[in-house]
Amino acid sequence: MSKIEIKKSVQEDIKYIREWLKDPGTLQWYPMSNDREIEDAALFWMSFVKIGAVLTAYYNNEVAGIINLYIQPYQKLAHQCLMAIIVKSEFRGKGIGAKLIQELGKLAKEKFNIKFLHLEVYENNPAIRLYERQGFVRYGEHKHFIKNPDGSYLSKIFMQKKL
Amino acid sequence: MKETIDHDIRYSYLSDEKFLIQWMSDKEINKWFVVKTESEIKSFVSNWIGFSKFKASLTATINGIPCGIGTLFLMPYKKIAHQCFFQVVVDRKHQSKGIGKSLIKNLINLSKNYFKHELIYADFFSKCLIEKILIDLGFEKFAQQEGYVFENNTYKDRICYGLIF
Repeated sequence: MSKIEIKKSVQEDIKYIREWLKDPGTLQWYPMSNDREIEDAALFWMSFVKIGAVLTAYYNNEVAGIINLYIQPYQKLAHQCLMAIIVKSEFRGKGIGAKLIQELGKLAKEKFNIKFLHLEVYENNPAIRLYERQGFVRYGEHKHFIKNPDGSYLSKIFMQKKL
Repeated sequence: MKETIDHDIRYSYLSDEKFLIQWMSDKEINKWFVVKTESEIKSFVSNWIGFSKFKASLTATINGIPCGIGTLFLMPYKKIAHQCFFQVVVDRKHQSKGIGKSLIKNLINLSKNYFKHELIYADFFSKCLIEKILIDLGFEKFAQQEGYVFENNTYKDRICYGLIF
């Protein structure tokens, strides 16, 4: 039987984020579009490793996905948190995203006392169904948020879950 | 109709930072922003006024003294560089005199004509008076996030309004 394990991320896991985001099929769902932007985003994402706010999923001992909490720097916002997730394309549809979100929810609630977990996702992203199944509810849509190189636009969808 | 007090609008200087710090430290203004402590205010304001280096920040003055600042927070990535977020603050002594609205109108002009943006947006907490100004200027609401801020045992929602040019 295939086995999913979730562990605290280590700084070296940044190489997986860099690699996965270079896949155009994955990158289309993120706001970055070149190596400099990917590096900037990956460094910020993994800066939360030092406070234990990033988790890595292993599928049959292979690194398959990463999820994080962007812990807020301000007291007034410390009860809520934005999350970001990435699952390597070949490991999608195996329950890894769901497991990562469930474990992150526990971590957010128990370690960081987070009451509201929220995320941002672009329209047509198949992951929206996963988020809905995990209890996230849509609270807004920012039209024309992304402008693709071909001139087409994508809305940003806002979703939130009470923990 | 409410009269707008005589004021000038100029590009912000880095040295306007001290006015932002002073206004953010005023309890009646601070309640509408995410920062609370001195160090939070300092870091937030430093990022805010940093956009003056790109000529993306405007300062309203009365008799040469700053009374309000409005800033376009330019986006760091290409796919979102066609739009931007903005924030405005007005000295409490000069609120309800049309300065906030004047700053936003000038920011719209700067965004559209200088930066060639296609849309701008702002967010604020529930019950903030900026909502009426944004509606007057044609902005439309696109999100309301429950429980965004927690202060004095009370949650406030975050409300987002945008304008597509």
